[in-house]
Amino acid sequence: MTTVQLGYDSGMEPIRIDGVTPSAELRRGLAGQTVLLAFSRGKDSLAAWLALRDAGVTVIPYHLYLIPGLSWVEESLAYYEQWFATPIINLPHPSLYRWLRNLMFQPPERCRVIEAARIQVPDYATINAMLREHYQLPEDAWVCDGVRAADSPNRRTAIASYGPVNQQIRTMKVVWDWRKQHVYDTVNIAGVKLPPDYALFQRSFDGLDRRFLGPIRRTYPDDYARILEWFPLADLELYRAAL
Amino acid sequence: MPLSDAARALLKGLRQQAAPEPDPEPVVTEPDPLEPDPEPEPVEPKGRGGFRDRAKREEERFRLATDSEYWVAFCFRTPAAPAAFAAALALPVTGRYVSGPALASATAATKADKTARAAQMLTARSTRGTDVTAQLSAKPAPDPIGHLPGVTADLEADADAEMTALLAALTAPGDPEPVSLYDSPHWLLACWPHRDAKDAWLTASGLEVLGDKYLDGHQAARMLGLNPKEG
Repeated sequence: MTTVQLGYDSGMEPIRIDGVTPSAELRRGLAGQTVLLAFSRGKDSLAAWLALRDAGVTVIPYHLYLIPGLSWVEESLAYYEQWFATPIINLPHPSLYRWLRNLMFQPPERCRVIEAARIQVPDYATINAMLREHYQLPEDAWVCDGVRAADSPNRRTAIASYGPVNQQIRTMKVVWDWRKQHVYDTVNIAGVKLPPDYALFQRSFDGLDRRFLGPIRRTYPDDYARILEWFPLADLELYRAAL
Repeated sequence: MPLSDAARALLKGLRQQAAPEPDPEPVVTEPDPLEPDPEPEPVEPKGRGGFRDRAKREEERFRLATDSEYWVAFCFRTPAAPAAFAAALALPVTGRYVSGPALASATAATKADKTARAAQMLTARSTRGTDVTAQLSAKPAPDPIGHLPGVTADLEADADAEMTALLAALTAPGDPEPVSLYDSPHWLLACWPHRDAKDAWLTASGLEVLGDKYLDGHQAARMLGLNPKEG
């Protein structure tokens, strides 16, 4: 296994919050274990994967898609599977179920069909439990993610209040104290590419608002058409921008 | 809900965008453990405000940028009715969409009569255009994923099968004359820049008694004092 020189070690101080365990210590505690990783294809979850790998943790990544079959999403997943030599299971995101159940961007004639499907929105705890069972992991196997305190004030507040570890649902924020530079340094030094999302949206694809739909329509018209198959009125996002 | 200065600035920016396909702008995302947010990174709180105020502003900006409930669909019985409705108000139609602000201007003379609210609600409950007997005896739509086998050992395959079946049902030709008006394929959609503007119009016009998303277009026309001419 090739280890990378983590950005964490590049000299910049991580975020420190009194009483909160540094992420390096969390990762050391996971050494030798097998964990699930919520892999969004975003830079933070990518950095989390690299950091866990460097700490000697066996990572089983999973990705949750918002729309089935978007070309650039599928292609980037294939790239990461090859780069890490690890399969990435790909399942529907709870948001997809929630959007459908809430009749988001749905014309009237579809309501009856969606209501007949009696869509249930799975929560993350349920998904994680299914994945643990699928991979025959113990019920208390950790599910790691790349959520960082520096993402937003809300997240910093949440981590300061509740910490980066949830013992009840067994989740752990394994790079919670990294700054943006740590993330980019780690990704760059490893030589792994960010997904096309960053060139298109400056972030990973995570919604049906105009930040995403405009660039998708320009760059991936077939994928835009695919999105409209699921959410036919999503083009209102572009229509309303001109009002 | 009153809007903050930050929200007004955002909405002003939305309205001033002439191009239908604006560039993305940074907004914060909902707290989702699977989808980390981008920068900027927060700094330590300084003086008045600090994290709490910033978090509140970001939450509001996020709501405004990602809210999808800023439209209403007027449902009709016949294919010609949506165009007739728009024509009665001299509204230009783009595809099947009309501008909410233009609709508001065209119906500005129609003010909700608060004293007649009870009568309006009764009107809204009337069943014009709907065969009640047929509706009560109608069979529910078949569950589009009910025929699938239960959970197997292959999670991905199970999910794929579910999504494939669901999409097939969603894209299958619909009933051109459904029992319920609200399942009709004959509709006209009015779109506002944001939900608050839509809600304000529904309240001002009195049409809030019809709902806030899928509305009976025939009832709406009657309450607005319109007499649409079909064909």
